Amino acid sequence: MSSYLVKRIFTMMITILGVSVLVFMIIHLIPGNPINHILGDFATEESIRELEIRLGLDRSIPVQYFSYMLNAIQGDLGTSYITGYTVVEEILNRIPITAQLALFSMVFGSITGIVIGVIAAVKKNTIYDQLAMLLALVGISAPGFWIALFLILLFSYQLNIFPISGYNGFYSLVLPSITLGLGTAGSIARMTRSSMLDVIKQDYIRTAKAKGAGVYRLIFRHSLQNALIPVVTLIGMQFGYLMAGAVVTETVFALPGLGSLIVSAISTRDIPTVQGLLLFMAAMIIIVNFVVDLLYTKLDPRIQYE
Amino acid sequence: MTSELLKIENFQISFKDDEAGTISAVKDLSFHINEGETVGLVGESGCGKSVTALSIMRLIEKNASFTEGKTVFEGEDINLFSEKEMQSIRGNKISMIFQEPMTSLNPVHKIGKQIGEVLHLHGFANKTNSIEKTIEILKKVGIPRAESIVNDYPHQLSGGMRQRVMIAMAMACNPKLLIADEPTTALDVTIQAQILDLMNILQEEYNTAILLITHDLGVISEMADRVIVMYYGQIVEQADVRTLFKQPKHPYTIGLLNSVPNIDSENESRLTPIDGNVPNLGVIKSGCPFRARCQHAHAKCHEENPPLFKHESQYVRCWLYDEQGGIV
Repeated sequence: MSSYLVKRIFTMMITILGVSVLVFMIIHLIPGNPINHILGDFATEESIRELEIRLGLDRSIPVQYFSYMLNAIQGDLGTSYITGYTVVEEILNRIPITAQLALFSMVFGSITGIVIGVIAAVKKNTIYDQLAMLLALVGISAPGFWIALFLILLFSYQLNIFPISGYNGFYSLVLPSITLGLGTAGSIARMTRSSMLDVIKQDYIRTAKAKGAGVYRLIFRHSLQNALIPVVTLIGMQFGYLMAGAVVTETVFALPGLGSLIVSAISTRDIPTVQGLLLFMAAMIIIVNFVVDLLYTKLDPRIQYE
Repeated sequence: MTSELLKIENFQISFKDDEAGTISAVKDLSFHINEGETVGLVGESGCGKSVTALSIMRLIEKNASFTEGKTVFEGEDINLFSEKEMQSIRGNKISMIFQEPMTSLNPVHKIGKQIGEVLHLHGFANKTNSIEKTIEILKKVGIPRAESIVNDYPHQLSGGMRQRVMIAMAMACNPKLLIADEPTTALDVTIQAQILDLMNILQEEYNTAILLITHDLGVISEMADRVIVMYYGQIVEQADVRTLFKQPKHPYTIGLLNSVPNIDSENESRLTPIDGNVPNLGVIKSGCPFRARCQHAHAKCHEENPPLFKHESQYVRCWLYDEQGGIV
């Protein structure tokens, strides 16, 4: 187990390094430059030159990359061109909202998805099954901004239950979490259904029936844990989509999280912020997937890491 | 005086098939099992043995329909029982072991938990003493290091050990009837013998009746008191084990016995297999289903399916025995 951990942590670091190179290159390929953005259209040659030197943009790209990474390893992701705060400060300021949003939508998506999937599997080929799968399809297919607007229209505008936008405690995260979690719920429902159907046919379920187990015991004690093994993989992978979805959702609901930060940073060509955020999000996704892999051993005793 | 424990009356089991409509898998099946008796149910794959076993427990798949029949167990027709009542019988008064020990145990639960569950379900143990009782049962089925095995997962055990665990689970509540569906088929020969021995020992101790389903005549000769031979969803012969092996009557039974090597036979004659294959279910609409593979088939066999004739203590479904016995 410990040698496995060392191996995994090593490959995780390599992955993050690869991501950093990609992020760096993509940012320098984006047209537009931050100097123009900061100084405006009427800047003099001299002031442009001066700012370039101050921001270190006069150096070659490999040199910029190495000095950036050297600082990054020490926990310094640079300073925002626009706000003047360090990128680490920016992230720390905004992470509570995105973390809550990710957590709530993950919990909402997983629970809804698993419940719907189990119902669909148990009631296979009935109207409940078809309804559940239709719902899942809508969840997967409907774009986040559309769901967001629909929910705002219904729950905020018509029913006046939740705030339309902005952040003011838990209530303002309910609609965004549902928006973000619906896609996850749809994918998880489909996976749970097919996985449950597969498990229900297994010999050990017949054994459990022959022991005198009732329906609920069969579903929850005997089938679900087996059926959840592939579902957990999916939940891990969904975390990446969740991060991407957070960008749209936070923008629509005007939540001051990492997603809306990245949107504004891109539009102002705030290179350090964009870079730092992308690197941070990539690292989070990699770590979450690592944790999911470790969770397997808890769900399936046949899996042992060496 | 032995009393009747289970009586199957006029079982009709059919499956719904999208293409072929309704396919009849078991036709007019009746037999009984006495207390403490071992009845062997023999036949080739697809003859309806396993379906019969599953329908006694009412564990049959949803697309199967049970059109007729009574399952009288301890004097009550359990087909009329509610699902809840049935659950209290399964694993308790009637239990079952299956062919595949490798896949019949839940891979994510510990052995102790799986055996403890059946004790718990039927009130034979509570939370505090279930581990204790489980260990006791595991020891009884000959599992070494039972104290540590309770904390193992199925994948950590061999096939033979897993089948012992299945037997432990089946015998945990001291059932009246054990249905064993090909319990040794997936095991190698030495383990087979051990498992059969174990079943014999437990049967003597608890006076459990066993319905032993197998295609292996060797297993039958060792274990069964009485044998039922099935072909194409119906009983073709029924007799006590000695009579069946000494004087098989139905051409199918004779064929089965001839296709098994016999170490005592003096002339080293070749084995004679039964010609042809078992016809697919639903293909034969009239006449004796065995006629195409039978050397003795005559005109009447094509016209009419024979009833079960009683011939001394033996029952046989063949026109050859028409005049000799009375119809049952």
